[in-house]
Amino acid sequence: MKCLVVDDSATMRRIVVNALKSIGYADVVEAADGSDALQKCDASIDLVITDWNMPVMGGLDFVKGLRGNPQHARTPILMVTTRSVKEDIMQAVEAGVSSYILKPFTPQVLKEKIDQILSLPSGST
Amino acid sequence: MDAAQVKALATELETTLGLLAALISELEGRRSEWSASPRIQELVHLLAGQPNLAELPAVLLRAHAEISAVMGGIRLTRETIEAHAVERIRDAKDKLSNVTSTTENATLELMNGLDRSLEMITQLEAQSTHAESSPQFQVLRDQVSALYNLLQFQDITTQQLEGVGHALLDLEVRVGAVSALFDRALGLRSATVAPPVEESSAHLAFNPDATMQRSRADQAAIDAAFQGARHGQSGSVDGVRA
Repeated sequence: MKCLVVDDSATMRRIVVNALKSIGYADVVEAADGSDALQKCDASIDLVITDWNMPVMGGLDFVKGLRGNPQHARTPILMVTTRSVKEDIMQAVEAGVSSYILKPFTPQVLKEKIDQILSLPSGST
Repeated sequence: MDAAQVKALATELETTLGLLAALISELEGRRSEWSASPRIQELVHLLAGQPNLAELPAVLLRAHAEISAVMGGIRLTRETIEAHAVERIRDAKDKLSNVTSTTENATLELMNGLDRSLEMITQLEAQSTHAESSPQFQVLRDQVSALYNLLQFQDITTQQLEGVGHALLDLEVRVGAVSALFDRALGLRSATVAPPVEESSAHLAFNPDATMQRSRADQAAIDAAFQGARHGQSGSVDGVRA
């Protein structure tokens, strides 16, 4: 299982990577914004964890771009963000996000969400 | 109209009024000649009844001096706004950026230390001959991981500070707009200042509403809202801001 972690904050990337390793996901690629992530998201990526508010290209545009690529039309995408307004959640769902985690998060919540979206039947992501 | 023009006008007015006053005096001296006419009698009475007509130029000069002083005050205020308010706003923004980079560097150093601690725990556990110590090592490892996780504060406070910086930028633009108003009052040309644009934070590189105050209940409310959105429901969900 290869994960792509997208966040403009170096500390958050490290925290997410550390949390992923603690729950058994050690193969991780990092990107600092949506544009960087689109370049790094090749066919080998099985799971995407992305922030929303980022420079250059935000998480929402990145998810839309990724979903536009048939290769990643069903790749599980987890949005990890501080945004909690209902309108944001609607936009995330419409863009194609598979699940949504509020920052600050715990590794336990991360594990629950990953387990949940990986257990969804293909096409439900 | 500049000060020299005002002074010339005042002198001219003073001369005219002086002539008028002389005419009135002359008419007074020849009262017997015109007193028969009620119309002239009324006119002379009206002119003679106007108080301080001769002082009008001096009043105008004083008014001009006072207006000049007010304009000078406006100019000084505008320069003060430009020199202090804008400068202080920029200084505050620089300090916020400095706080952000300092805490980021410090947080990364803390993470390095916590990574080394986790390695040491693993080494100590491997060297330990007491099997009963293993749960204690795990407790220690969990504690270090919890500390690691708490360092999310750096990202969240950075977003809050970015929000403050954004508000300061907005303030700077508004102060610039006030300066432009003063420029107009002073008759100076000023570049048009665009009003600040109100924008949604959805496309910003930060969320000004970021907070550390999150609980499992908040996540549960988000989950419910997320599921509702996925299934096309539109009702409000407790714990999620509408």
